Amino acid sequence: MPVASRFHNENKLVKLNDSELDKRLSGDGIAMEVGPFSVNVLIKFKNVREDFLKIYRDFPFYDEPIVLDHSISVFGRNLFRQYLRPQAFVETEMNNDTIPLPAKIGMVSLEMGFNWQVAMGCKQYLMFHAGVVARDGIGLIMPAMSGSGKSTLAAGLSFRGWQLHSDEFGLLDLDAGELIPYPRAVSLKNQSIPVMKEWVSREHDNYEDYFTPAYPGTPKGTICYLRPPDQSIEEMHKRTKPNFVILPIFDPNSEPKIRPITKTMAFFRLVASSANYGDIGERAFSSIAKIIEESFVCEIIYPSLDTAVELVEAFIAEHSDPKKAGQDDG
Amino acid sequence: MPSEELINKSAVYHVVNTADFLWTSFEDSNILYDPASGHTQVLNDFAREILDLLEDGPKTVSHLFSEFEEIIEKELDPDLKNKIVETVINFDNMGIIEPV
Repeated sequence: MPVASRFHNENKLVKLNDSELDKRLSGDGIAMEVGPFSVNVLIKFKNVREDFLKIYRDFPFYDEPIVLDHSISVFGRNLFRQYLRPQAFVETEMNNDTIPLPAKIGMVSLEMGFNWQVAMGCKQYLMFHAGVVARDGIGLIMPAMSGSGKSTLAAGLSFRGWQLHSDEFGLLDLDAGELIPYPRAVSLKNQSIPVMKEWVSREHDNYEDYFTPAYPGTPKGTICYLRPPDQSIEEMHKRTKPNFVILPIFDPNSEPKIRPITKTMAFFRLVASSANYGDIGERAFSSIAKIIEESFVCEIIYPSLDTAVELVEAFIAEHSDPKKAGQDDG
Repeated sequence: MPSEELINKSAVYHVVNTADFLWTSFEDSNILYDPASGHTQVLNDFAREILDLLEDGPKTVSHLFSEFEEIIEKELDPDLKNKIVETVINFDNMGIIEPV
């Protein structure tokens, strides 16, 4: 049988009718395209399927056999856990060292499965724990620790005209030196949930449609997932070279400010943010060196999403002449 | 304790993987990737100069002192000698040099 093309796939999940979607997702699963990866998704719980489709309904799927990169199944490990006290267990092709969660928050299990497979299995792309967005030939990497607000900032920018590559995993093609979009559910936690709802509502009357229900009681508190903007899903194959690295620091008590940093600091922040730098080795070093050479770098300290977006756009506007790129030190 | 007492002054040090190191430089720092260990290290210009001297050929700390004195065209003061010794110890700990 022919193997389906992994590019320019026009089959979107939403084109299948509800019963067909339900049957496939709960049966053998659906092989779909998420950024550069093909992944088979199987979900045994109806509520998780509904939440999943809220986020991924516009993603392409394959109707023909495809060589899969990943596989994720969410199910109850026995009849008791499937129906009586349902518990969502996630199985991937890696060691599944995950704790089952109550099925009502099974979407969290599914997203953890996505993250786990990429974090553990991706060796062909250099990976950064970073929010990544792009616009008009500008590729912006925002490496940061969890809790720094990078997901909120990446999502905030994406709902103001930027292409969302990822709120969590920046991927770099080592040969081309290009950032590869990997748009998925944006993971919002606790206070960032109302912030993003208000932010999206400014542009979209149907803003609730972009969000899953909130899932309280997870190990990270309350989590809610946000669908990437439609344009970011449409542009899932549009790559950009990186030329800005901004380190975001959320501090609700601070004055908004742009703080210069050295390129050496930016270099090591990218190294520290990369989960597979050690596995890739020399090519990872050379790639990060090239990114930093060709990028403008800074740190922003911000007390709110509005100010963060203003600071990012101000810094980029100041340095947006491509002829200047990489010529300044911070 | 003066740094000079922390090192065997008769030991001859050489750079382990000179040809394999990858380098990049920004501002006043030099960043080295050692493929043998997978470690990435940052060196200031002073440390880079000492590593350059060791890359030219194996040397004792005393040899480094005299070569440095030729470069700066004056006698080394104790502070500078201590810095050289500390740098050599750090290189040894990083695994980028070793006694012959």
